[in-house]
Amino acid sequence: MSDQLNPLDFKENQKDLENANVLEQVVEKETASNEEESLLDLAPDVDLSLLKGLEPQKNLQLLIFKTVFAIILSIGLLSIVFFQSQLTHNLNFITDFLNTPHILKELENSNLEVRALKTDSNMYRFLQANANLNEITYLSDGYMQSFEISKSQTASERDKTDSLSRIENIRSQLKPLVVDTAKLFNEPIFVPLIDPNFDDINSQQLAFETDLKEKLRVKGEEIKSKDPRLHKLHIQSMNLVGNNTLKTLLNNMDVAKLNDAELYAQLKVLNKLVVNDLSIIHDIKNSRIKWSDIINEIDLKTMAVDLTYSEYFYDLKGGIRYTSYEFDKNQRKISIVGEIMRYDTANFTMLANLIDSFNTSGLFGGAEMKSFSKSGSVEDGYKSGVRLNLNLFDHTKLNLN
Amino acid sequence: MFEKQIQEFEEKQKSYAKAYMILCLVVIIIFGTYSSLKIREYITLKAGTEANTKLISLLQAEASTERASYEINRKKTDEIIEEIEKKLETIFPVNDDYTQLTRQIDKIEDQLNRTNDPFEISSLDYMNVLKEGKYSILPIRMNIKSSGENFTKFLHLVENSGSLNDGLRLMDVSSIRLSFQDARSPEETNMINFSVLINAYFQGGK
Repeated sequence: MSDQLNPLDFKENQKDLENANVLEQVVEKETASNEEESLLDLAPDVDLSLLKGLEPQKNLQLLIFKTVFAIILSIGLLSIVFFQSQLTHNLNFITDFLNTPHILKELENSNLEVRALKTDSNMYRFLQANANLNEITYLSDGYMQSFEISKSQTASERDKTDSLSRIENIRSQLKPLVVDTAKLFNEPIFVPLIDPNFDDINSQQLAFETDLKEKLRVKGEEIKSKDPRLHKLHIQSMNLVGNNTLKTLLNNMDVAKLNDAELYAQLKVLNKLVVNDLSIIHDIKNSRIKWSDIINEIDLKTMAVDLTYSEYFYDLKGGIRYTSYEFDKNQRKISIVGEIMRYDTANFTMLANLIDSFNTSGLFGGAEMKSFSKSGSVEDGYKSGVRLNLNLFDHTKLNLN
Repeated sequence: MFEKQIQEFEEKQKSYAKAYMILCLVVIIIFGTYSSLKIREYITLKAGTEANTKLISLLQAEASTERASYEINRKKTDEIIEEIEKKLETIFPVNDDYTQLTRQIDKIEDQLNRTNDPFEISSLDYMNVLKEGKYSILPIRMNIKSSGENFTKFLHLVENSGSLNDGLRLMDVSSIRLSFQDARSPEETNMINFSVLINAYFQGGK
């Protein structure tokens, strides 16, 4: 306010002030009219829904990977279908429909053919082996009889000599037969196959053995009425299949090297392992007791105690005399009844010696008598009763060497 | 705003591409492993089939050789079996055949009996048949008067009976009861009375 000391200046300033007010009013007026009418329109709204239909530029990498994935998946699925159709029976309808090869089926069919052919071959081999075994058991029957006679304690010398020559004759016939039969058994019964149905070689061998048994059975049944003998041969041959004990026995049976007793023992085992018409006979023969040898053993054991036993010295010198024997096969018992006469008083000693003598036998034992008595006089002799029960040992375990 | 969405979309595509790439790798590994395993199996089966083709021709030859060998020996086999069967009819008949057995026992008596060395069968009783597992038994009770020597011979014959060579019926001694005669002379001492139970066997069990 100190600068506005000149009134003119003040007046001029007053004018300027009035002009300013006018401008101000114009502006105010203009501004007021502007409020109703704008110079630019408002910015338009973007319709985003329109963008939905528009695809942005595609990623090439994604496109490639998608395609590769689809190709790999297709190839993979095709390979599954292929392998499933070839290696399993799950998709048989496809191979049947397309009439394409099926490797598993081809293999199975060829395996069946191999098994059938091998079974055929096995069948003839086992029939031949059985025929050989029939001959071996036939010869062994004669061999065993001759051997038993040759080793008998009571057979005559002439019989023994004849038996020995028969043994040699049979031995020469047995030798090639045993070798041939062992060869037949040694031929492999199966061929190893690539077969998914079998876990190992043993199960394959078992399958071939089952095939062979079945073939022999079926073939045997076919010819039952036409050829009963051949039917029997087929059925008997079934028992040879898988008989490894027999196979081992034949392989170890060196007829030339075995002595008579060894061969006898091996033939006895063989007769037990082979099932044929002679098997039952051999079983019965094996259970027989050689009573003549038992009686001879009783005589020998008595003679060891009474040196004059076998002679007619009983009334003159005294000794042992038997009045009866009883042999019972089923009970495996021997009962001996007799008496001892002594012109001294040693009856009891002789009786005790007799008991001990019997108990040293390899054929029987268990002799026992715990009540001793005697009667008589020095002039007429003292007599004591003998009543002994003996147990027979299992003769099948006795050594015939 | 729009640019942002585009950018997001592109990023999404990139991550999808990565995912597909991983999927491709996984699928390649899975199918690759599967195929390599299966192809080996396939090759094995194929090789098996080819091997079988060769084997079949070998086995055909083997089967015909075995058959020929069997047929050649067939006649001999038949003869042996026939011989065995024929002999079995006597030693192990299909029925008790006691009449034939009686004749055989009589023959034994005739063979052993001598004036100075007697063997006399005073009685022969056939008892009821017993059926065992695989065979049947005809028990025979015999009363015999014999010398000691003949008695032993008789025992030998029974003990060795049933041989295909001799044709004597398969028998065994079940029990023996011997009683020595009260001797008046040395000759009589040798005479033995024995009652023996013999089992004669024949086919057909229980």
